[in-house]
This record gives sequence, C-alpha cells and structure tokens, in this order.
Amino acid sequence: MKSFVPTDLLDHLEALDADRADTYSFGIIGLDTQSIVRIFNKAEERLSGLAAAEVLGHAFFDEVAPCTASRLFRGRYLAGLARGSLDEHFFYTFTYRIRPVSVHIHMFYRPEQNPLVFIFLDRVIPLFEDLG
Amino acid sequence: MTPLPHKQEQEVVDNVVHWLAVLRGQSFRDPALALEQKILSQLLLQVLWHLCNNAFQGDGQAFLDRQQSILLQHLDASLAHGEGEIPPPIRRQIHACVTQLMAAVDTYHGG
Repeated sequence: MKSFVPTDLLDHLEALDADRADTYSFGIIGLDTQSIVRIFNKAEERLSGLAAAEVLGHAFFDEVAPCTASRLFRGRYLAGLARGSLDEHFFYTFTYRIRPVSVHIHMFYRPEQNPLVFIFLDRVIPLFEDLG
Repeated sequence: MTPLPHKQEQEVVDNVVHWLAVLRGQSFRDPALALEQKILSQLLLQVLWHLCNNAFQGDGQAFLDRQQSILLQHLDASLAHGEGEIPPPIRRQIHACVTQLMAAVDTYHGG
C-alpha cells in the first residue's frame, strides 16, 4: 500500500513536533506510550471537527476515539510498542457519532528517532454524502 | 466470516433492537428494575456495535460499504437514544466495562 506520507518526513521523524505537524495537509496525531494525545495537528482538527485543546492530554482510545479501542486500531498500536517499531497501513471507516468517513491510516513508530507513536490519516471523500 | 446479505444483516439488527425495546418496556413496579433493563440493554447494544464494527472493518483491507455504514449508524442512534435514559455515572461504567474487556484481549495477546 503506497503511503501518502512524504519519505522526508519519516526519515526525519525527530524533527516532527506540533509546529511542523501543522504544516501538513493530512492528519497527524502523536501518542505517547500511554496512548495520551501529545500532537493533534491543524489538519486533523479541521477534518475531525475536534479542537486540539479538547484532545491534547486525553487518552486516545478511551476518551478521544472510543470506536478505535479494538484490535484493528489499538491492537496495532500496542503490538508496535511491544516490538519497538511500527510501520503499518490499513483502511478504517469512522461512523461513531459522526458522518461516515473513510480514512487511510499509516501508523508509524521509530523510538530511536521520536518517542511518539504517530498516526497519519488521509481522508477519502465519503461516497455516502446522504448519510448524516 | 461468511458475509451475510445486507438485507439480512439489517433485519437481524432491527429485530435485536426491537426485542431489547420490548424487554425494556415491561411495566416494572420497581423503578430500579426498569433502570437495570436499560443498563443491560445498553451494554448489549455497545457490544453489538463493536461486534459489527470489527466484522465489517475486518483487517483493514477495505472501507465499509454504504449498507454497513448505515447499519452502524443505526446502532449508534439506538445507543445515543439509550444513553439519555441512563444516569451519567452508570453510563460511564458501561463504557468502561466494554473498553476494559476489550483491553483485556490486548493484555492476553501481550500487546
């Protein structure tokens, strides 16, 4: 699966902080090893409808996006932490409490460069515009 | 999972939601018993939402189709409606119950 994340960004992950994350047009969420949200970029604010101030410091899987508290999402995150590396792509359609939106997810973790686990999100325009 | 025809999926979920409403709607003299029915019903709906979501999302190789999205939204609407009838502290306990159970799977598999 081809990533939408520029190689340059992944190669220089140590430079990816909140300010730099804000310069990208796709969603970037940075989680610490306790799954607390540490980075929530402006694109993700716009696309999710959630303000960074509402989610920063909160548990991602339990509080911010409870629909992701399953093996498909949280399981990949935890497995990556246990392995000490993560570079996985998958598709996910969010429907819980929002208009359905399909997202290409790229989870990335390279602790020698950055202690955060990054979730990169590229929205696909929903095909079901009639679903509220 | 053997895929069910969409119409059949919708009918099954509709029947479950309807049956839960019937079970909740009994005339109990004890109001606490009525609340207990609402709590159990809400717990079951939450579990059903996760069951369907997991089955539809699969391993993340494809997006949900329109009917799957509709079905999950239908369940979500039933959940949202039920939440209004349950005191917030108990609502939070139901949510915690489901998420803790699912987190136990991650612990069992060693992350």
